[in-house]
Amino acid sequence: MPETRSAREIFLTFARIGASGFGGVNYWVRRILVQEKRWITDREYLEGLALGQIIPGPNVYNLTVMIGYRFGGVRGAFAAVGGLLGVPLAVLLLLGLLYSRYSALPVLQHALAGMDRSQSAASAP
Amino acid sequence: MPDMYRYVVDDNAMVSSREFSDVYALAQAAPGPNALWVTLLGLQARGAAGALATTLGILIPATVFSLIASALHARHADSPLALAIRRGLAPVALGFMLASGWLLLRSIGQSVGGYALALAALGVAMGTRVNPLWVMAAGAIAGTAGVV
Repeated sequence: MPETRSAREIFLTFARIGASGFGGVNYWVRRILVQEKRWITDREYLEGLALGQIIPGPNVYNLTVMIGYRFGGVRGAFAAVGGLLGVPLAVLLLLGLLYSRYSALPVLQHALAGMDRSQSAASAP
Repeated sequence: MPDMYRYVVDDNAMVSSREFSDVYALAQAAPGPNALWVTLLGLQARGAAGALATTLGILIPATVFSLIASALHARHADSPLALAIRRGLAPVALGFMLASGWLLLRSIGQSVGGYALALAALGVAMGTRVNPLWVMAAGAIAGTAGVV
């Protein structure tokens, strides 16, 4: 384990990945960790994803724990997780609160029904 | 997903069928791993305690197993088993990724413009280092203009 990174740097790096999840978090993991920062190679990224797939839980989450651990031990793993999930969880909770307050509005019901139809088509696999 | 639906909606009536699908759709608007939609499901079913329970429920096992795998791997990175797993599993994971991309591509349906846009995004992602936000902006504009 030659290379290490500070917990702070790990946290900030994964916070960027978590906040820009559009297009799939996996895409941003590769773009930021492999292309931009060169923390890992393409090969290592792929191996991490593969391992993440056989471990229970979301594979990108498992990959996050593993990379955090590799660069900063257990502290690094938790820093990575905190970074990855912080922004998305805050957004989700906000959406949830708005939903429970306004779900009776017809406008919102129509919008959600539309989103749902487009997604059921997209979530085939 | 079908198992979750059966447990949460049919068997235990924690949320209604409509709430289940609403919450799922809503969660896609948030960034981050899609699996986090269970946070919203927990929130809708049982408030803050529910959100905490569902979130920790998916994260704790994943964290424990990933840490164990990392620690083992750090110690035995060059063992035959680790090598075999890395060599054998990587291509399989790649196959899965290609398959889901390919299957999802069909959801574009009849729109020629949609395929053109997907192809353009592929080209930009593979051949250039252009910030993908520009491609997304282009897609949003094309969608608004009714091209796709």
